Amino acid sequence: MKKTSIKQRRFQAWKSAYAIRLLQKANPKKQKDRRRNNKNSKTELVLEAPSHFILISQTKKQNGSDVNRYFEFLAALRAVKTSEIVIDMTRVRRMVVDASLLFKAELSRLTQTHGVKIKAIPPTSLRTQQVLKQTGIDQLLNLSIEVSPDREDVVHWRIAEGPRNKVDSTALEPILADIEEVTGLATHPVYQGIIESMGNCVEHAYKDHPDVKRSMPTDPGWWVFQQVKDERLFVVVCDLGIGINRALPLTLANEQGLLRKLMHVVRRAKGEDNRALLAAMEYGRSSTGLHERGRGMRNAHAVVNDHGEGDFYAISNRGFYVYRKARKEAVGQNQTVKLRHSINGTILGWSLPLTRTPQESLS
Amino acid sequence: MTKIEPIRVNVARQFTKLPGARYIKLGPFSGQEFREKFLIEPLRQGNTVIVELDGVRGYGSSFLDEAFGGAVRELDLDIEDALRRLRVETTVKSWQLDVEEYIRTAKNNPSSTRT
Repeated sequence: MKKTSIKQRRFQAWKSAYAIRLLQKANPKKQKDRRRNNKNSKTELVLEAPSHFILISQTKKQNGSDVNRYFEFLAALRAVKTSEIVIDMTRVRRMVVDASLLFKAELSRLTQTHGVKIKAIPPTSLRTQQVLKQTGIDQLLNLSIEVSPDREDVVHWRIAEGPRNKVDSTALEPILADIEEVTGLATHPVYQGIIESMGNCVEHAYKDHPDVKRSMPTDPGWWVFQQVKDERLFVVVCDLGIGINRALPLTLANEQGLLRKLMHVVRRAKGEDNRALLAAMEYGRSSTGLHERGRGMRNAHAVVNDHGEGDFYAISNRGFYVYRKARKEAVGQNQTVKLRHSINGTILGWSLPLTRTPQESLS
Repeated sequence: MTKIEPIRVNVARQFTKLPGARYIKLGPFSGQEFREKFLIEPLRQGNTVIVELDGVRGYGSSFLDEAFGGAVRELDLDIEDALRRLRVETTVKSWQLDVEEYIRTAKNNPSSTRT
């Protein structure tokens, strides 16, 4: 058989992938809206969950269609009007921490605000079953999963949640205890980021806004997930509030001049959510002397700076901001991306390597 | 003349290992709650307070600002006097620097410290 060169093999792989993309474009897979009759002949809406729960593509292996399918699924979930739904989780095999958190938040909102009864068809993937069990999503789905989580990349998933009007720091103890277990550090910089994010959520995220008509969750109203994977610690805080773009003008209602200045500084960013995110960062960065507010975002960056290296990111509706710092750099780099789909809320997240000891940089 | 010993407060032992948000209305173990429980009366009586910060899971800057900067604002303390009588002990340098900054800049915003 003729041996092909690396270049030829790459070309063949690209050609096949291109053909698949063309095929997908011609026959896009829409979120299936199946209905089935149960024993009492009541019609149930069946939503088919995609294979990947992912908010933002990160590796070359994942193209945008994974993300699109997940958001189509979320949109269908948000639009549920029936009193009962069935979620078919059969195909789910990859659950990224922030997307899983958003899924849990949306399920919780559905049951809280619409009283929707959720049933589910269990996933075939054993890992997914373990994740659902470990995160408590199985209870929201009314799934009975017998398997006990034992995988190393699952057992360190931790969750905390609480009412939208209260910062309950005691709910964070299981997360911090696990961080201590894996890092050996009883005090960790990520605590300041989580607690300030929760404070921001309680103070600003669920303000009344004329443009937001959807019903908002009350208890829980904020969610925190933690995961340890590939020698990295991931911590994510989520709310389903009005988003920073709408909250910032309300927070600065009595300081219109300052708001105008901030928005002028960030005017070149694409998308109003990104401009609001950058304005909030700028407000936090320059908030010396303004003691009441604005420090939340400064704390969020301080988590990475105090740790020495890592990533901080913020997603608010369609805005995406990421701050990345390598150990050798004095200051990290940031960038914004305008997202195609809104997450209908705000997510703040950190990804920090486990191998470094924060105390090195603190003391 | 007898020398008055400073009052020592250990946050982790006497208050919480999980310090919360800024105001009492936002939830338990807030900076405002800590200030009212441990700082205001001793400072009002002219005592020196040494706060031991270590042993907790961490601090949000809102907590530290409301506890320390808030004490300066509430009692309208002179900044130099506050830095002399309201001190912290910690192995985490950034906490020490933050607290000093909050005390120094406490009066820059007169609208702060809601009760």
